Amino acid sequence: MSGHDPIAKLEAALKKFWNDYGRTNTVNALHTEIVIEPKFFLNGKLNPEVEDLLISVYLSHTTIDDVKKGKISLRDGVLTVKDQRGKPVAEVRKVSMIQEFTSRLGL
Amino acid sequence: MDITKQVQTYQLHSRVGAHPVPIGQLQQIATALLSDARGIGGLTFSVGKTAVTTQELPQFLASLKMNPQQLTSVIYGLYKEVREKGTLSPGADNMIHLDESKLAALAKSDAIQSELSLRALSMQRGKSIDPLFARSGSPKRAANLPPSVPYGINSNHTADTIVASDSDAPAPAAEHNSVPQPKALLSSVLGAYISKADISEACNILFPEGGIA
Repeated sequence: MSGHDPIAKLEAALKKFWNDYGRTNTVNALHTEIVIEPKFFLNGKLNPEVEDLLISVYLSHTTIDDVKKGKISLRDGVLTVKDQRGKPVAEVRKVSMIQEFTSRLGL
Repeated sequence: MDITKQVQTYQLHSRVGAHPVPIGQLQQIATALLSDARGIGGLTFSVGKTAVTTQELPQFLASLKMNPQQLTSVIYGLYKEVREKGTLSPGADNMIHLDESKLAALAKSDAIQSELSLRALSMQRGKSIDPLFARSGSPKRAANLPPSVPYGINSNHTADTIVASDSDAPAPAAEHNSVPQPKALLSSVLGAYISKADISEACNILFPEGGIA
């Protein structure tokens, strides 16, 4: 079924992504181990927790050149990730994420 | 100064209960407690042969030569025993039976006076008196919360959670990241897990309004 279902495919991809980068919480019982995963979509939108992880991973792959080229801008405490046309893809307002980004690139 | 005296002075000042509570605040606390129907509001107390309603309680306690501090301690102690501890409850005659020794014990209780001092200090720092009643589930507190906060009347959250969230420190401003183009973000990050065509197809179903989440 999932072979033709694009949403199921996306969900499976997000699940793998979460396993690779996200916090894996497990509940250990005597004979079972339950891995707790987030709901990837909430009310027709991406789960904000998943969104944050996607943004973090995206930012971790950026370089100072992306800032110089204007793909990423920091203005008024908002870090904006832009697409090739200059339209915002993501707006980062979480101070911890912005600080992590700026300190990594030495900005 | 003699060292023993210094230690005694330190001990006296380090005790929270040693701080005198302004009369205005005592009055404010007492008034709030007396009118709280979930506690002692509307009850009748029987002290010896005298029946005293809650509203008459301050005058009655004053007639026992209690000062405002002791008077408020008694009211606070009664409130706690009726509402929180459940150790005092009306008898068959619908009255709560007390004796003067019990009132005297409440009036002199160090624990109650310390607690009162803490409440008063909280009030001095601009905090609402509400936390005093929050354990009883103040509907006023719940009504003042924005709808997004999950502390509605039907919420399973206990009022203790409300107390915990009502700290002195101002709550940090809500920081939310936003993703105007989830399709673009997903395509950029999930390339190793799924093809761009599949992402695009899924996003067209999930986010039909041009990819705006």
